[in-house]
Amino acid sequence: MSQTPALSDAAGGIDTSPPLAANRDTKRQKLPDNSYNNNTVRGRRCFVTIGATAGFRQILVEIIQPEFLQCLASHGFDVMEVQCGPDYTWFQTQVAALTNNHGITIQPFDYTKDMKSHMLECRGQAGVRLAGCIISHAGSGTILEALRYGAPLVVVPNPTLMDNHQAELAEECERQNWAIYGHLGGLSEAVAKSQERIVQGQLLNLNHLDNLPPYHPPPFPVPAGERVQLFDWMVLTCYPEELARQQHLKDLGAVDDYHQNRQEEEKEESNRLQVD
Amino acid sequence: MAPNLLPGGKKGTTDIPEPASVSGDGALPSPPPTGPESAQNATTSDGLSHPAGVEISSNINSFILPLLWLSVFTAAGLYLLFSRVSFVLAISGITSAVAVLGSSVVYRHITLIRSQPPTSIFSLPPTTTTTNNNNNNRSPGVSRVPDTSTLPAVYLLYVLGSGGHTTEMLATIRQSFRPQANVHRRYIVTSGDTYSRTAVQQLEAQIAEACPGGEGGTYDIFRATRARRVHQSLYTAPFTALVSALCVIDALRSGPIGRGEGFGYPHVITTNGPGSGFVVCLVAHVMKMLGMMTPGDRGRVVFIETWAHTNTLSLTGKLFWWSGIADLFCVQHEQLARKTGKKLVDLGLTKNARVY
Repeated sequence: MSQTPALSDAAGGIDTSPPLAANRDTKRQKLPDNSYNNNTVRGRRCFVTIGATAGFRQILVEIIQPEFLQCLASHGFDVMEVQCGPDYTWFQTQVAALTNNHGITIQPFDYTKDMKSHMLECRGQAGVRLAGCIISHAGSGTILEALRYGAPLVVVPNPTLMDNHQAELAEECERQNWAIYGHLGGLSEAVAKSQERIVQGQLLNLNHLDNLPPYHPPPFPVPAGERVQLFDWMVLTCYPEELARQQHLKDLGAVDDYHQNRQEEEKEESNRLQVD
Repeated sequence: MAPNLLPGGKKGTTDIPEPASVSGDGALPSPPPTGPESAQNATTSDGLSHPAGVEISSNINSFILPLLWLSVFTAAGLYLLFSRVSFVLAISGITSAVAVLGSSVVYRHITLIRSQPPTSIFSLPPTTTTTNNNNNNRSPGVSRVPDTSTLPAVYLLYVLGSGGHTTEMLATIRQSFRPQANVHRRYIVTSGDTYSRTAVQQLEAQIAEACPGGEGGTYDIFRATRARRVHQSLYTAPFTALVSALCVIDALRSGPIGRGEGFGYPHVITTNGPGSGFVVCLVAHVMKMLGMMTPGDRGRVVFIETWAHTNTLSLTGKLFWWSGIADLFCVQHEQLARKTGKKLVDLGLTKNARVY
């Protein structure tokens, strides 16, 4: 695991040496050619979100422990925003009582209507900021939202909620490589692992998480090929004649597809024969 | 219980303040629906004719409904008549009436479940639809299948719960939206839930922006009492559910203001997991049993198990499973589909997720 230097090294000037995989520092980036000279790439931001419905004090306790703050600092984080939910006032007192922040600015608040802007701050963008980390409770809405924005995600299930389907969801996210399963008591390891993945991602492709393009929301209305159609079919079941007609058309479409695929295959065959 | 819209049915912005006496929060429940007249109105609500033999009302069923109502009145009448004369007579009369009632309810329920549409007509993930290709050899009209824009009315009802359920439901609506003027969307929002109404208003604002001439259809928001609060004990839940059910009857029966005849009852009632969702669908099912919503042409119940549940069904999911009232029961994860045998559907919620 590479140790990144403190923020002050990158603040003054950016090292424009070409990115070699072996001795690469994730803090020092090659800027794109049309960047401004005094445009400094901001440090990593951590966003911790508890959710809007229930409290989750165990996370709040853990993120102000010195080990966690040190872990953040050593990976190049400078700001940690915390959406505390009902434990906001308690958390404020805890933060005020901290003797050593390890260089991390802690910005708590209780609720927000605009998760998007907080989460987008953790999305790495070429020439603007490095990829941070979203540490989220395992609420499906929050997870789905975070997944849209391309920021590294750590999912932490809340053991006190009704049943433990949250743990299963976190496992599924880990299995599909959408997020990292963060265990209470092991959040530092989870953040470290997520940073490792960023480094690994750099080795694999150019469009890695520190260098994403600016976020564009998906088009609306959704293009016809990607639309969810089951509601239309359900409405049509209320009109049996129309349903039969459209099912027939759909079958015709399937037949057309089949014939078209056959034609394409035959064309490919004949092309191959000609080449030979 | 005043729905949330401007006259003319366009996008509404603020809530119309309700007079306290008819508040939808359960202060005064709406009066119970009258029997046979509602049944009459329901059958002709959309004006379309159906070919003979396709509807659910076969010979036996046309006896069941009157039998059901008859037994209710008989039980009440017997109690009133005989409770003074002879206790035993009253009890035996009531018992037999209730037995008839019970068996006709069970029969009606089973018939309804058998009449649910087969799910083989749905394509699974959205990306395997036939509209991907741009070839010219295709029969005309095929790429627009399924197409509901030629129907006189499309009335969709969405039940929104708290937090995550709402976000997912609205994302599903975004993924399934197509600009059509004949659509009306009604959102049932529980009374303590400010997040849902803001989210709905954001979605509808997005729709209005994308479809400036009103081709996005109309919408309204209906406020109902909560069936169960988060962390509420499961023992008191049935009572709060009952109160919420009375609101829901009104939500289902009152059509949208400013739209025509075809919008009597919703075509599709969709929910993805909150307790109030099951209450709404159960009320719809009872209305179908009593003949208020002709089951052949209204009130399709769609339950989509929430994306959060990968291996087990939620409590609402189990209720739907056990009662069988969902016309379409979908799950969103493969493991759960294998376990329950229900249809796997990909709503495209994670299609932009960056794998890393």
